[in-house]
Order: sequence, then C-alpha cells, then structure tokens
Amino acid sequence: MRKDVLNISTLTLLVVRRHLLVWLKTWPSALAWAIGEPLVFLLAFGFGFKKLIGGIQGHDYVLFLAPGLVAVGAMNVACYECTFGSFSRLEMIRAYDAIASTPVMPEEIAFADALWGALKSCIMAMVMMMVFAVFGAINTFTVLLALPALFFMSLFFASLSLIATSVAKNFDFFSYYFTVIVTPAFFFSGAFFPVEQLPRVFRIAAQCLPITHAVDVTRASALHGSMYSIVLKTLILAGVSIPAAFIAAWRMKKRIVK
Amino acid sequence: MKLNPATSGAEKVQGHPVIAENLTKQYGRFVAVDRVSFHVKKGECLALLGPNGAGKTTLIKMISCVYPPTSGYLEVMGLDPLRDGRKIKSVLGVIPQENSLDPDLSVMQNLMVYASYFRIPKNTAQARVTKLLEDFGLMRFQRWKIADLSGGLKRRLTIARAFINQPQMLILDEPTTGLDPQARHFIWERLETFKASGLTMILTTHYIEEASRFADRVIILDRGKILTEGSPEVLIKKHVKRFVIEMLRGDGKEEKSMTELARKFNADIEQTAEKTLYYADEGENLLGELARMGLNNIRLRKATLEDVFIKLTGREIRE
Repeated sequence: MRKDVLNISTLTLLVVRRHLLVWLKTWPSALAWAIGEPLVFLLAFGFGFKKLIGGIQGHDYVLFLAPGLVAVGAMNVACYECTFGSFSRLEMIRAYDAIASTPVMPEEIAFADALWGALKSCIMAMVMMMVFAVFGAINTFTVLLALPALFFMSLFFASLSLIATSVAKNFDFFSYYFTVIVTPAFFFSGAFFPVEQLPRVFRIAAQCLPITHAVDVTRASALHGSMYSIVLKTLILAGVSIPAAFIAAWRMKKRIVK
Repeated sequence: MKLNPATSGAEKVQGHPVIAENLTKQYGRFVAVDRVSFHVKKGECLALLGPNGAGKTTLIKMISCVYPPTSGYLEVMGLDPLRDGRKIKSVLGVIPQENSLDPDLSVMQNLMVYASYFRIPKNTAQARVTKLLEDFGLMRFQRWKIADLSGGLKRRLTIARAFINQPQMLILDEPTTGLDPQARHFIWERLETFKASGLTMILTTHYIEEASRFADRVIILDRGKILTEGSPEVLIKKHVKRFVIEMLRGDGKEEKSMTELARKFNADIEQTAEKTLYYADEGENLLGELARMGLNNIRLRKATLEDVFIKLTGREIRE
C-alpha cells in the first residue's frame, strides 16, 4: 500500500484471468469490431490502390499491406482496451474497488490491465492473420514469428493508454489521446506505405514509435525478411515496453489509491 | 505506519483487531480524518456514525488497507497496513458502499472469481460458494447475470462475497442504504447470526436503528473528528435526557408557560423550523402537566441515538 513501491506477484495473473473470463462472455461483438475494421482497410486500400501502385518493395501491394494492418490493428485493440475498457472498470463498474479490498494490490490490478491489453491484442492479431490468410493476403505461417514483437508493442501501447487513463477525468479526454497519439501512429507507422517515403522529420518521428518497428517485424515475418532484424527489433520492443508497463502500474496505482 | 513508536507503544493494548492513534488522512489540503484515536475490541461491533463527508469511508478505507494514512499510528489485526496490507486484507471481509460486482459475469462466477483473488483452491471455493448462495437465498439466481438482479439481490450478493475468505473481521460501509425494508431485514438477520458467532464488525450507517441494533459501541464523527464515543445507552444518558416531547409550534401563548414548566422539570429546549422539542428525564410527568394545561399536538417518545446525533452534529443539511 506504500505509494512509491510496486508489489507485484502472480495474483496479477488472476486479474488477467478475470478480464479473459469477462471477454469470453462478449467476444462476438469484440471480434466483429476488431476484424471488421482491418478487413475494410484491406479491401478498400488493397483493391483501391492495387492497380495504381502495382507493387512495393517487390511485393504485391495487398501482401505488403496485410501484415501492417495486423500490427496497427493490434495496437488499436490495446489502446481501446486500456482507455475505454480500463476507465469503465475504474469509474463505471468500479471493479477495481472490489479487487483492491482483496489480497490483490492496486499496482497488480494496473499491471494486469497492461498485460491483458497486450494479450488481447495478440489474440486479435492471430484472428486477423487467419482472416487475411483466407483472403490470400497472408500466405505463410512464418507470420506467427511476429507474435512476440506484437505482444511487446501492444504492451507498450497498453501502458501508454493506461497512463492516459490515470489522468483522465471522463471518456471525452480520450478524444485528445486518440487524435494526438493513436491516429498519427496508425497512419505514420509504415503500415500503408514505406516510412522512407516520408519527409525526414516525419521519418525520424516514425522511427521513434514502437509501432513502426512492429510493422517492420510483422512484414518481415510474412514476407521472409531478415531473421536478424526480427529478433533484434523484438528485443528492442521488449526493452521499451517492460519499463513502460511498470510506469503505467505506478501511475494507475496513484489513481486507485488516494 | 509507525511514525511515533515512542509515544504510541506504551499505551498500546495488545490483541485489539484495530488500534488507531492520532490517525490522519489528507487529500491534498483537505483533511478528511483528523487525528482520530480509537480501537476496536475483538468480537465487538463498532458503529461509525456521522453526516455525509464526516470521514467514515476514508477511515474504513485506511483500515481495509486501500488508502495509506497520511500520519498517525494504525494497526490492523496486529499488523502494519503499509507493510502487511496483503496479509491483513486476506483476513478481512469488506462490504463497500457501492456494490462493484462484475456486471457481465453470473452470480456464481462473481463469487468464484472473487475467491480466486484469495488463492482459495477451486474445490474449497466451490463448497463455500454453494453454502453462501444458500445462506443468502441466492441459490436460484446462481446463473443470473448481475444486470438482471434487483438492488436487494445485488446487495445480498455483495455481502455474501465478503464472507468468501471466512474473514476474522467484517467491514460494512452502509450495508443497507437504499434497500426496501424486506431486503434490509433479511440482511440484518444474516448479520445478527454472524455477530452472534463472535465476528468483529465495523459498521458505518445512516440508519440509527441499524447502529442501535448491532453496535456495542458507537463513534460519532464530524468533519474528520470524533465527537463522542460509547455504547448507545451511555451516549443517550450523556448527551440528551431520557425522553423527548415534540410540540408543533402554536400561536405562542403556551410557549411561555411551557418554558416555566421546562425549567421546573430541568428540561432542555430546542426550536426547529416547525416544532419545539423538550428533552427531559421525567417525561411522563411533564407530559401529564402539559395535558392538564389542555395542550394537544404534543407527543412523548423515548430519546434515541438519533437525538444524540442531531444534538452533536446539528440540523443543517450538509450537501
């Protein structure tokens, strides 16, 4: 209960289990939303630009686009879960009040939210991979190699979203968060076009975003890119996201504990 | 939270489930609980009474190891909430002011998931859940979603949930606020059973009847400070007289003779917006005299904890 010390045990996983249980009750709507949007992007951009673009980096545009959509889709899932989802558990259904009076510590509740955001993103990413495979937009199992990178990238955005939630007064606040951070990250991540196309300043900014590297890794996994770069970037994403998760846990703890 | 061990150690009584000395909680500049000292004895029910914003919930959140104290000494179940919060929480049963149930899970799942946070093995949890569902009359709703339950059923489930870890102390924050009389009496009966079994209880409530019914001792709080402390009977004796005579204010003619009468019976007089109240120990005799004067619109009743409460905290509306 000390405000400045984080006390995190395996009880965290029981809170993740609670989120999974609740999600399993409502998964059809969640899944429809998570698959629907990337599929619309794939169909609209893929078939809209296919004729105009021809190929990018030696690949058919649809094959170039699909892995990127998986990555930004996973990011979106994490961002929605840890803003609207977490805020509703915090302020609307007050689930955290109940859990905080059990042996589970507030920082574990917050840490569980970050982990759950990342886990849910990975589940959604796998579903998107399957759907895209059905449409022929992904044609190899090696795309699964991207899952660790997608997990850590999602953990990073889940943590960032939790930090936003820790200062949010109401749901309206998230409009700013999505407009300023999530939407730019979505479009400048290199999911739709190579980042190299961008002016220098934007290119550097994009390289600072974990999502850009997750898009790279997912694309490399789907298109037989360099294994070395996949491993390296996965490690970098892990190195960035784990401290972020602890910062998020600390911020959210301060919000739960007054 | 041992900020002042030198002074607090000496007078500390061993074995009390809760010991608080000069306990203070501030939210920024606002002092919610202000240098409060009290204890809870094993097996007793202590009621915390006070107007909205008195600091009851803050005090309870500190005892249940959710909010850290700003200063002072606090010991719960012989342990330090700052260091051993997890251990303390594992033996407390907490009934929060708001139900905070999982709306998407069923009644049964709500209890099972809650049990998991205490690392109660699944079979044990299953057996305890079945027993609690029976005790609280929830058996036939076990598969219902929370959203489909009435307010009374939700409250029963929230109270049942607090027993999942077989707690050594129960913390109830307004357990029956907003319930209909049937639901309230059902809950009271259950709580009486648990009280009879020797469970230590801390109760906050706005229902004076509830406090009188359960509390061995009462603390009246206002603006973060303890105004008085004692058993309901002692508090009535100490702060008001045994009887209260309520009289609707008339044309003022009888007021004067009433005042004289009050002086004769050593009664205290209080004027409210509509009524004149007389607090007196010999209420029957005073009433007899009043009746002889031909006054009607008067009513004699026994003084209650509510009279003590109003006397100490005033009649003004707080929020």
